Amino acid sequence: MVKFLHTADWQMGMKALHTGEKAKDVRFKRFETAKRIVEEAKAANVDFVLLAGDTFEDNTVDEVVVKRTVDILNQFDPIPVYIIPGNHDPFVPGSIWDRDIWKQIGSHVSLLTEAVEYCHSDDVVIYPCPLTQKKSGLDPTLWIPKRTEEDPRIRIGLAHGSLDIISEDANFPIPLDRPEQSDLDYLALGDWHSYYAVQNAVYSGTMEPTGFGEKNSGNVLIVEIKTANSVPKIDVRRINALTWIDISPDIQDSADLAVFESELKKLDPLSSKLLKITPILEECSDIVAFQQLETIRSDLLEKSFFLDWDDPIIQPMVGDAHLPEGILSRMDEVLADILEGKIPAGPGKEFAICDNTTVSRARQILHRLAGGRLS
Amino acid sequence: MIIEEITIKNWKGYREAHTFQFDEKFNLLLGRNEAGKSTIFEAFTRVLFTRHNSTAKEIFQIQPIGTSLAPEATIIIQSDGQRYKSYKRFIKASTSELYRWKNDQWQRIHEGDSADNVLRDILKGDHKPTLKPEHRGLSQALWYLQNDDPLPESEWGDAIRIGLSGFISHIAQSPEEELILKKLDKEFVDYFTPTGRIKKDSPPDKLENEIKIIEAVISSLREGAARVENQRQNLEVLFEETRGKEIEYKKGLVEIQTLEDTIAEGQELELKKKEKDQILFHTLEEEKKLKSDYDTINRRRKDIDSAQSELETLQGEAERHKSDERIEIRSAETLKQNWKETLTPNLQIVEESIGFLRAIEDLKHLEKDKSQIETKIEEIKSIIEESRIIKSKLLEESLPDTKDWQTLQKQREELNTIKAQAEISGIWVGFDFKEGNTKISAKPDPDNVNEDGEYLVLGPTSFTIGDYGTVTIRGGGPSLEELQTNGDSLDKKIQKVFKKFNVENYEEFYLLHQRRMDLEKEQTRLQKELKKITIDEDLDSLTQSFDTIEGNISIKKNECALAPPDYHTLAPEAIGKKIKDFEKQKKALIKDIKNEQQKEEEARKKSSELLELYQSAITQVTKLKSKHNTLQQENSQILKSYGTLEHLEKLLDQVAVSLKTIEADLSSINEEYRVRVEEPKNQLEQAEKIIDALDKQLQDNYKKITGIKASMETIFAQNLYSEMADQEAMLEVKKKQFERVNGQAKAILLLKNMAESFKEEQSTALSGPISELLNGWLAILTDDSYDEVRINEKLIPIEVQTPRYNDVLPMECLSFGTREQVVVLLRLAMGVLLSKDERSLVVIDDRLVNADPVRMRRLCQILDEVATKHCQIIVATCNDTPYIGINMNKIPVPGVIGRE
Repeated sequence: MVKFLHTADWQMGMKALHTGEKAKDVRFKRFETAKRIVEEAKAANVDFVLLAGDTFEDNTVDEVVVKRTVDILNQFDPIPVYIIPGNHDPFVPGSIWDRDIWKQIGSHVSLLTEAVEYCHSDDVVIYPCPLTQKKSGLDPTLWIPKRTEEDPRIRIGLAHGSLDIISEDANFPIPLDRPEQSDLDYLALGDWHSYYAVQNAVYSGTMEPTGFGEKNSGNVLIVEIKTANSVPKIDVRRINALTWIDISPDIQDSADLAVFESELKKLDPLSSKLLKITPILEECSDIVAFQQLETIRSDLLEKSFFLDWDDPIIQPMVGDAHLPEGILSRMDEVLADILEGKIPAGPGKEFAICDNTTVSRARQILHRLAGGRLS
Repeated sequence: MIIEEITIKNWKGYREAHTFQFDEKFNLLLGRNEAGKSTIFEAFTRVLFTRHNSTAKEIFQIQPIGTSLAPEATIIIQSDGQRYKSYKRFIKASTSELYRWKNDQWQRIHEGDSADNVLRDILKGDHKPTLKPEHRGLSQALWYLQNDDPLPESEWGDAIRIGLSGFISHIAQSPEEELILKKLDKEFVDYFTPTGRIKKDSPPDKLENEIKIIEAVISSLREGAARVENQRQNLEVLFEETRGKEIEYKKGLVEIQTLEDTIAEGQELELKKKEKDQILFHTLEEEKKLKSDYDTINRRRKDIDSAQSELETLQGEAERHKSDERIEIRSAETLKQNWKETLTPNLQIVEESIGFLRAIEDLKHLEKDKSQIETKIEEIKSIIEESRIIKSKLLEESLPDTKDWQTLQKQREELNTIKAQAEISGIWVGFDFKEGNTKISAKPDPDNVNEDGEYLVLGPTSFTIGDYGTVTIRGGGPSLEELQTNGDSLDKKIQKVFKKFNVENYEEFYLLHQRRMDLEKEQTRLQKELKKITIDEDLDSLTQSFDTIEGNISIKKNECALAPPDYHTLAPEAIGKKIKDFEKQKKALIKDIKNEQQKEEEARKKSSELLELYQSAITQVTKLKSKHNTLQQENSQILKSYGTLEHLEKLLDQVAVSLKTIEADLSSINEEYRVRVEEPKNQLEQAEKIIDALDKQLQDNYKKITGIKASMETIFAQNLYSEMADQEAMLEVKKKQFERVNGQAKAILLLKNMAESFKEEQSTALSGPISELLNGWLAILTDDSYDEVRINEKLIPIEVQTPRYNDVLPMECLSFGTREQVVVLLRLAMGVLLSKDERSLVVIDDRLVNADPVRMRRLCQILDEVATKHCQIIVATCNDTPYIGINMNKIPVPGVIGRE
């Protein structure tokens, strides 16, 4: 029997641009999570760890990132760690694997850079598929030989690429039935950031989500295989420190707001949450609700790890202002006509070419200046 | 709004309170210059628009000069159907009170700042600290004051447009609209400059600048990243190259090993080849020697033959040179003999003849010279003798010279003069005795007794008169005595001179002098003659020349002693001709001698050369002979080892055969050797070279790789990647903010531009009614010279239509007076339009001075009409004559005296 920890796509040093000023903190959290993987591996008493590619975000990440990662990997000692280069950190001259700092890695860590059979033990063999470039249309697992008749060993593939169920021009396409084709008891995959398993081909997903909209990421897998040709037992362990949540609540009144608030409460603790909130407010006319929403926003800004909620809540509402007869009312008519796609007559004609967003904003401002209600 | 009355006190020239009341129609403020008409209007504006507590320096200027009095004014106006009274005091205890007439009394409704504000709002003025026309609301147009510009710089203030738009029903403007537009303006100003450009330090501008800075940083970081990538690509290339070379290197090492093994196997063959090579070598050496000897002998034999033939040739040459040399010598001798024995003696004869002839010629010349000199000498001697005689006469005879003669003459004259003076000065004493023969003696004797027996007494003289006694006369005085003395002295001198020259009198003296003169004259003449003769040579020199010539004559005589006798008898011309002939002969002879000598020299030179050639040939012959002998001896020496030459040839053939055999054997061994040993050795050498080169290249590549890696490590250590990530994240944030803010700005700009467009439309609409009024009045005023004023959308007149020429003229082309009049009409037109609901006040402060009487009359008609039907008009002037026809309220403005 063999028990191992399968992880991938650590993406150490990732930019996290969309988190603005929090980008540095987001990057730092990944080191914390990686340390927890060490604890998880030791706690589960695994035989080895498989890191299926993209350990680093790029071959040019800072030295300090590599050093920290090396330190964390060294903490796995004495558990062997088998790493393959992925498409973000391919094994090329000048890559991370060439750096002096990488040479400080412990002997328990093996960077498998050749597509040759690697014997972990007498009864477990690993077939690594290291990547030597960033993009390719070739199947990196093609070389894995079929099992010979007398081979009783547990055969584990270690690859980084895209199972060809999404698109034809996938990067490093891997056939869905590679485990079957090559008699693999388990194909440990990296590249997709969400956990996904189809028969023996399994993506562990990234150990820490990398953006809004990722489902099922933030895991490591503890895999047990009893014997050759047996079904592997996969235990998905949640490991992520941060959670990325994307919400678009439809607020029409205070009741909706209450629902939204209760949803937010369920997210506690907010300090580990990255929130992207885009409220739908077109139908809302409840001033109190708006004010409460503003309060919620201020609160979230303070408490959450990161908040992406830029658009102002209080927006001028069109239609409620009293525009005196004269230039201003005529201007309002012109703006309305333009928004409807009409070409106004008179002095307003020259403004028909303005884009609708600007025209709409202009109309809102006009109404606000006229003392219209702010929504 | 119209004004009912104004009272001003402590206001410039108005110390006491003065009240001016106005009619609701036409009012004429009449006063002289400096009477204070404009002051009244100033008071209007101050009361209505200036804050009561203003401390602007213009306020202090309204104080009466030299005082610190507080200016005060009270104004009563009508506006919007209400009567208002405003009281303001400035500078000291500044006050502002606003009253409204209600229930038959004045009720105070505002005071202080609020009173100021309400008053301003009546005429829609700005709440600005300065009192520029554009801040005076409607009065900017309606009040044409002394210091106002005829027209605004760009456009009338908003108040006027708003005021004017009141009668255009479809464009009603309200304070609400104005407020909203002001808010829009404020928001606009937050983002934009007046020209519509994003304002510096506005939110979009700041964000844009921040974005630029971040982008610049990112660009710089990207450059670093690009450098890393570039280095990485270089590294990749190097790695590939290195890997290829390593593979080649390994292959090379294997190949070297294989070759070394092959070479080791071929060692025995090498020994065999070596042995055969030795044999071949020795045989070749032997053949070489035999051949060398054989060749040497043959060559020498050829040399001997050639030497022999050369020898014969040289000997012949030597003989020839010798013979030639002898001929040349003989020829030289002949030539020498000719010029020496024949030509030279002839020359001597000729020269001798020439010498004789010359000597004779010279002799003749010398004798002639001698004769001449002799004559000269004689002459000189004669002159000298004569001169000597004269000289001796001059010495011997005592003859007075000119100086003596002159001195004597002078003395004589002096004496005569003295005598004359004495005679004049002297006393004449005459005695007349009755008895005759009385003896008279005088002491001293008088100088002179005249015929009458008078005695001239020049000095004290005593006369003894017989026995009678003595008479002493002391006459004459000192001067007479002096004269006497002088005369005596002179006389003595003269006598001395006579004595000297042994004469008795002047005539004799003169004769002596004349004689001297003659002698001296003669002496002079002789000296001149002598000088003439001795101008070239003096006597000594002539004497010397004479001696020399004599000497030369003697020599010449000796020279021509041996000359043929007929030479001596030749005339000088004949001698000359003969000499010429002989000279010709001499020249010819000298030339011939020279030619002969030259020929002789050439012959001798040639003979020397021939002799040298002969000697050289002889030397060569000797050498050749020696060489010939040596060659023969050497050949004999060589042949000693072989016997004869045939024997040597035979040996040579034998060795050649032996050599062929050895070479054949060696050839086959060599072939095998080449294949089994030599080629592998060459290949090994090549392979080793390649390996060395590869090794070097690999080392270089390793160095480069290490270098690039070190460089990349340095860049990685700078944390470029995370730095760039942070900057890119920040950029995202700023861009989002900019998008939002910029969108806001664009919307505000859109609103602003739209508002401007609508305002412009309004202005354009407004200009119609104004033009209508203005055009009618202009036609009246100018008698149809101009019938239309074009007004732009800002209500500024820009040009006039002239029907006479069917053309338009810019306003600038009109005369100053006409322009002023157009401006007045424009303001009146605005006044009429603004008076739709109630009368408005129009003020014209002495602005019609440039109108001629005809225009003035017409203007007054227009003013009368406007005042009657529409507006309250106040005109300030110092001349009321033009306004006579108008129904008016004439308000005199007293001057300073009048006010006092």
